[in-house]
Amino acid sequence: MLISIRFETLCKLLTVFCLLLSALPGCKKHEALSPITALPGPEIVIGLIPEQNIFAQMDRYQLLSDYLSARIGRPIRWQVEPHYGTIIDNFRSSEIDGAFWGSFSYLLVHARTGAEILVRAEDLNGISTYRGLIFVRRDSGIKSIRDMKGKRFAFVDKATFAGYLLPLAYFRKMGIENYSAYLKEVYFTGTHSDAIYDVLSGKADIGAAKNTVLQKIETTDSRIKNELIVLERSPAVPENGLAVRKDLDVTLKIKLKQVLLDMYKDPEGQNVLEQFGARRFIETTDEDYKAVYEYARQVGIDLQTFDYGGKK
Amino acid sequence: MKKQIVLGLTAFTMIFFLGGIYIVFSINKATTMLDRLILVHQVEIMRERLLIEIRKVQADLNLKNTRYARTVDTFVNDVQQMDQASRECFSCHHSEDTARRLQDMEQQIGLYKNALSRVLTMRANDVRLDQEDDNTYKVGEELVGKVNAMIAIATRSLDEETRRSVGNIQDTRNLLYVFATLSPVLGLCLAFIFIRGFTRPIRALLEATRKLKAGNLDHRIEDMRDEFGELAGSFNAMADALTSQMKRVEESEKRYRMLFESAGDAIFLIEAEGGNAGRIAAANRAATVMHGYPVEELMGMSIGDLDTPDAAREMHDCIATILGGTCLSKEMTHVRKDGTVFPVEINACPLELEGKKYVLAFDRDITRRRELEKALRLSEQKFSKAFRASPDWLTISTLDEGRYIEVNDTFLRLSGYSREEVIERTSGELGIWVDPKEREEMVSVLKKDGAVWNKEVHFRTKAGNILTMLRSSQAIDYGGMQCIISVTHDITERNKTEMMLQRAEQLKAVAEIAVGLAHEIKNPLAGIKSSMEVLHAEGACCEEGSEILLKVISEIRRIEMLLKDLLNFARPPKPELNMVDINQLLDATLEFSVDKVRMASRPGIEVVREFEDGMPAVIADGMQMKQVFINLFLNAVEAMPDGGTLKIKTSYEKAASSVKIEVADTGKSIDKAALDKIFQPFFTTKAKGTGMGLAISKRLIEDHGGTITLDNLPVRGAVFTIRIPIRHSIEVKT
Repeated sequence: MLISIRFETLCKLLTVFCLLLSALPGCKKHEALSPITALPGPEIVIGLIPEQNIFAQMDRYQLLSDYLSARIGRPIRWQVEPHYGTIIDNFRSSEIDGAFWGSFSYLLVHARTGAEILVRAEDLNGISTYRGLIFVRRDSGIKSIRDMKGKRFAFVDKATFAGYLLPLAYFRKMGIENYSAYLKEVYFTGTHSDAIYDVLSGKADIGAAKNTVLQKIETTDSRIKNELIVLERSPAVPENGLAVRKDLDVTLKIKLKQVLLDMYKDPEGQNVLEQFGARRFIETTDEDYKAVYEYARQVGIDLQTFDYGGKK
Repeated sequence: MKKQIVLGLTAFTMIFFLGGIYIVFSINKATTMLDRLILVHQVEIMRERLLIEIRKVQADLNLKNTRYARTVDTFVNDVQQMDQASRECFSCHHSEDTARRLQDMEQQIGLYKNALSRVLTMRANDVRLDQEDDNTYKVGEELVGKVNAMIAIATRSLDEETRRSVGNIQDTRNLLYVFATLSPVLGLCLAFIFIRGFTRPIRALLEATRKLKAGNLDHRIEDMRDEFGELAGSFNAMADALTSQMKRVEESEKRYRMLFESAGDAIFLIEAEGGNAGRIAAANRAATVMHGYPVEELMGMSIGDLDTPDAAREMHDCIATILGGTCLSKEMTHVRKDGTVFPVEINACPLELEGKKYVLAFDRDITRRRELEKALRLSEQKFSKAFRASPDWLTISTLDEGRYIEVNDTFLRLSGYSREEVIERTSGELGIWVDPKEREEMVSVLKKDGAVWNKEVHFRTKAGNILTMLRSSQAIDYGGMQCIISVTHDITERNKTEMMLQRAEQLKAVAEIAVGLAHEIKNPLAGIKSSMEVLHAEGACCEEGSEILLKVISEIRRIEMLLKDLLNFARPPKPELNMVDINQLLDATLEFSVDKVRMASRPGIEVVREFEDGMPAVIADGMQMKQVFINLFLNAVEAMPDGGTLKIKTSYEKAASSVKIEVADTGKSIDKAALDKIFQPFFTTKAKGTGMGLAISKRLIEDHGGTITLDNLPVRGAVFTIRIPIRHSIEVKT
């Protein structure tokens, strides 16, 4: 009979009914990202120099810290300080275990604490060095050291190669003994990007910064290409690298180095590297900084006594 | 109706199903709305939080150069909290307008963060630092303004959303109330319609059934549809069938009534139970005629009243037997009203009518049959006697196989079988037919014509003798089987006699010619012989001629002897009969013969005599007997040229009342062809024999009423057997 609906048919109807219900409109709940599992062992603190806007810098390094924590088995925390000097101070007082140093800041911590350089990043084009630049606005009329007299100069930080050591060498080369007296105003923006933006926006007449940061801004801001001209270039020096405390656990040191060197080999590591803006990390030794040492010597820097602008 | 039921149930199911779906949808809609409300509230909270976070950062900024300045870590942390709060705002879906505003806000946050970073990182103179602080603060305030604007939008949206949701939920609730109220009412209406649809036709059907029960077979149901229409159709068909059934029953009853009344046998319906057991409940016309009572009278009577007193006593037993389920069939005697007694054959069976038990009895007057049976029995007896006593060989056997069913005494006597050996066996098994083809021919003729008359056939007896017989057969039906009844007459002896007569006639004719011829030859031959003897005596010829003459004379003498034998055979001298002792006669003959044998220089013959003592004398011509014996002895001696034993044996055969003389030799056997012809005249196996010796011997023995036969002995040699009957009076066959 037609009335006696078979069990299977009933099941099918129920299934269809359930499907209808599930298809009803509603706001999907967003699944919260699962928190990173805290791994046993004490926290490793790595300092970050304000190479660029400190918040952008933190964002850039966040994925890398997650990756390293998972691979090493210990939590990793970044410490961002607004000044290079503060990082050096913290390193010297062992508040941090290591940091990604600029080439000059490495020379300083190595000279004073014996910090050990492990690796540095190689960018997507396979370049693992940078140069310091001195630049002005095209319409500023500044073409030589003579034109700089009475102008405003935006340095980055006393402990930077591009943002301070290069201008020092430049002035020395150009025969200016006291740049403060020669220029109208000298100030430290703290970050390379701000030095560039200050020149661009007219807050300063001359600026010094890393070519890599300039190139990065250039990709989003056409003014760099159109409105700036470079007056001086430094020789190539190693890109920012990770140097750790001399007395850090050897096993951890080796492991940290190895994980970073092998990152490019696994897909997850590749992904993190891509976000980070690097192709891979390459092994780096004190030898690689020979050019920087030479440059500092020429400028007449005593690494042991140089005032890097720290508080302590 | 099935369709309506299905439709009804489908309607109910659909109502409940759709109702269920609607309820689920309503609940889902309400919860969705509530979810959305919550979401909008969350948005408002999130924006409020963002505002708080921004204000916190602004506060940090304001306090930066004071003694209440927060640490850099706190500052950075607050900025990150603000950043986090702003990111949460992007985690939900937004309208295009909101998305645009959010994007704008995000850009503003980016600017604010950049400015904040500068404030933190920059080391410059105070003027520049103150400028930076002011600029950053300004950017922060702009951001606050934008967030506030968005909060206002969110609040407005929340109000609208809340109002709309509450309204929708209220509508849904009202609809649910209506549905909950209307569903039972709708269900009740549908149920009422269905029940009405069922009960109305059922009432009509019930009414029609009642009318039918009351006997109104012409009532029919009209105007119904669906399954009830089919049911009404079936009902009408049933009423039609009942009407026609009634007609058939009536016709059938009429037919049976006619059969009952016109039956030749008396039919009684007898009550079988209660005090009236045996009372005639119904009887047909034949019953009244057979018993001489009018039907009214019969109806009141008991069946026992029609029986003879002996039979009447068994009536109740008979009824009990029939009621037990057994049909009774027996022969009894009934009494007519006028007192005459007559035999009846009764067939009675039980019958149940309207719950009451009866006996249905068929009585047949078998007076005539009895008479016929008696006549038949007599006829059978006559036939049986004739069959058994017939001098001819009578058999009844099956047509196809020839299996014997009955044979008479003559058959047994002639065939040598006992009755047990023959009955139930076939002629083939017994080997009765010498040539089975004769039987096959006879059977085929019988199948065609039904009878065969005086056909000559050959049968083999148990002893192996062949009988020549004349057979007449007829196909009959014997107890349901196709059989042959045969009358077979033995003509073996008749044939033999006929042959002998024929032979005798032949011999007589030959003899007459021979005698005539012999007489004619005898005299000239005597002349020739005398002349030859004279010529020889007188020496009229040379020596060579004399020898020839002697040879001629010798041959003439042989002719004379032959003539004499011939005359002797053809016209033998009349025997002179005397009482003769065969043993003595044989002795005398042997002595004479042995002498003759010796003279013939046959020394290797041993003579053995085996004479039975006390042999009765026979009436015979001694000389003729002697002639016969000599003939036989010489014959035997000649059969043994290299010597042997001549055995003479006599015996008295009491049963046949005859004397038997056997003369046996140990010479060579005689072939079968010669055996048949040995007694014929002129038949001889010897070079110089006349062929008359044995013919004369046979003639002489037969003249004495005896027989002579020749048989080969099992090993070697032959034996002549002579049988001479012992007669008490002297009479001679001429």
